[in-house]
Amino acid sequence: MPVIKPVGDCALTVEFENRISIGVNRQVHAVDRRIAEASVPGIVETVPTYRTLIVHYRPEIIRYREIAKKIGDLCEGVSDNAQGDASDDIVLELPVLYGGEVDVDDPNALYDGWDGRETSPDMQAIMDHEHKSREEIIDIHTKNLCYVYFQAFAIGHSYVGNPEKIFSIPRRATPRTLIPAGTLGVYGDQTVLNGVDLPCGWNLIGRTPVVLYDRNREQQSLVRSGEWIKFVPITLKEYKEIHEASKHGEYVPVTYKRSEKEGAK
Amino acid sequence: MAIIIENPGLLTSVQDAGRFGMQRYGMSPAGAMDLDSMKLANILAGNDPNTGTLECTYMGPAIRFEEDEVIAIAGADMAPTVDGQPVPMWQAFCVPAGSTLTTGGCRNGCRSYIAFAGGLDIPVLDGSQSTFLRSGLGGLEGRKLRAGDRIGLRAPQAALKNMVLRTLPRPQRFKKNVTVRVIPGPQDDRFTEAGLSTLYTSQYRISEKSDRMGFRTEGPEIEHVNNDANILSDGIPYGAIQVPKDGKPIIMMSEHAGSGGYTKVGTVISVDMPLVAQLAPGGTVRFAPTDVDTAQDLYVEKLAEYDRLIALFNADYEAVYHLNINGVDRYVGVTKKE
Repeated sequence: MPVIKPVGDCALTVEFENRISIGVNRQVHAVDRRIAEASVPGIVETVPTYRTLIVHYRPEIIRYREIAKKIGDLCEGVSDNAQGDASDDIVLELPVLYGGEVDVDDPNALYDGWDGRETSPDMQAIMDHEHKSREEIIDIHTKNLCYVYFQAFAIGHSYVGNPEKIFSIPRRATPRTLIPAGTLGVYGDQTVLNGVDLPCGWNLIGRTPVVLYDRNREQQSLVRSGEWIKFVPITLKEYKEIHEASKHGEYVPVTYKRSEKEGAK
Repeated sequence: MAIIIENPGLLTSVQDAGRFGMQRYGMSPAGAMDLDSMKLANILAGNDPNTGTLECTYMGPAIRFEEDEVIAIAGADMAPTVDGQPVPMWQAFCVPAGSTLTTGGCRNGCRSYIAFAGGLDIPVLDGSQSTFLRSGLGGLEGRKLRAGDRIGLRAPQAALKNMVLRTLPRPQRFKKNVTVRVIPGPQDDRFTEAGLSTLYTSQYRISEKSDRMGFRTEGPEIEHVNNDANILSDGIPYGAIQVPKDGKPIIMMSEHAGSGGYTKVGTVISVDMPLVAQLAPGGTVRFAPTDVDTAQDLYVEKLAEYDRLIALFNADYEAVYHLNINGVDRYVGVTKKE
């Protein structure tokens, strides 16, 4: 059973096993869904992260002991079955350009040390460290279905887990202070998606032409935590076409249930 | 009809009680740093307590009014004047059309809130008018105010019900050295006993490297178990005290991120956060442990006080008496006993 603790007087945390794991995180999201369905009065919002769910609530409506009890009840049995059937989970296909130069959206941005055009500035470093060819690196990165742990760090930002530890290259000694929106960084069994220009210390492997976060879109964040991602390699020509469409709200993302495509495991 | 920003001051932005429901997508709640002063300004001005106000930092703005409008200013004393004549803090008054409200440097505390009767005509984004400055979202074009900005008034009013009663006896109450209460956790077990003792017995100075996102502090280092300050990133509330590897507490303020990867030793209780929010760099804070029941009792009582004030300002009085006590004008409303 998870542990519930107060975080100040207007929030509590539901803590699951202390490790980064798709199985553990699916439990976090299972409880999150149960809380949403139960629509407990007084809850302001919930924020899932790797292995915890923080619940912001209003103590003038519900006190700590009462809400802790309710959420404890909603956690009942979650640890037992969340590892199980994921066939109804949603998969989003995310096109990625693994190397090649493209225009950046903000020509005035100062990406330290480079112009931001190269989509995979660290590909050579990754190839050297992993002793693999470019094609092998792309194959390794796109082979498995990946899973979105959480997005609370920054707008448009997602931590995405691979079921296997695919790379051993360490983080960069000096993080980049700014990288372009759409960039994918890799570290161990994780990929980070940057929806807006942000600092990043991970090695940059590619860039998606899809606008990950758009305020004016009905679904502002294209990626959603607790869902799955299939990275799909594309050509420079495809990148430009998809980016133009996505900027104008005309890109239709490819999604399906895990059970609908072979290769879903 | 609108207000014109003639001088924006140092850092003036539209803030209400914050934007909630989008933290899972990386949206900071933002909102007023000192929620108590923000709410009291609104209550004086006849608004819902969570209406968007102008949060003024260190040095306030100069604002010209195109229309008669009741306002109230609460928080740090910015020595406000209208066309050169001093006007009160913590009191509703009307600024006549064509006049200019001028505010100066904060004389105690460092943030002040100007509430406008009927509210500002600022778009509501995901349920809030607050400005998320770091990401350029919400408020007026996602930014701090500039000279020449024109902001509409939603429903300007020259007077409110019980106008003379709309005042609060709030003296110069913000201090430079404060003690605030803390609910320990959720990672208090990641600190040594000596480390926790350091936290609760030391004085921490607010660093110059502080902003609306967080207040860094300087003071004795809080010792971690095994010198390890990292956790798997988890959720953060307003008031959380993160302690990174250098052992110096960082208090998370309004524009905090939704998640972070440093150990959190505790969270400052809601009713004490205004004391922190009013500290400028150089001010100091001490921490004292308390528990969630005590903190929630205090918080619920604070909300009840807001409701009582709203009822008092909107009550129907039989008579309102003018008293002059030691040269100070006071007004008293009298109702029939029910």
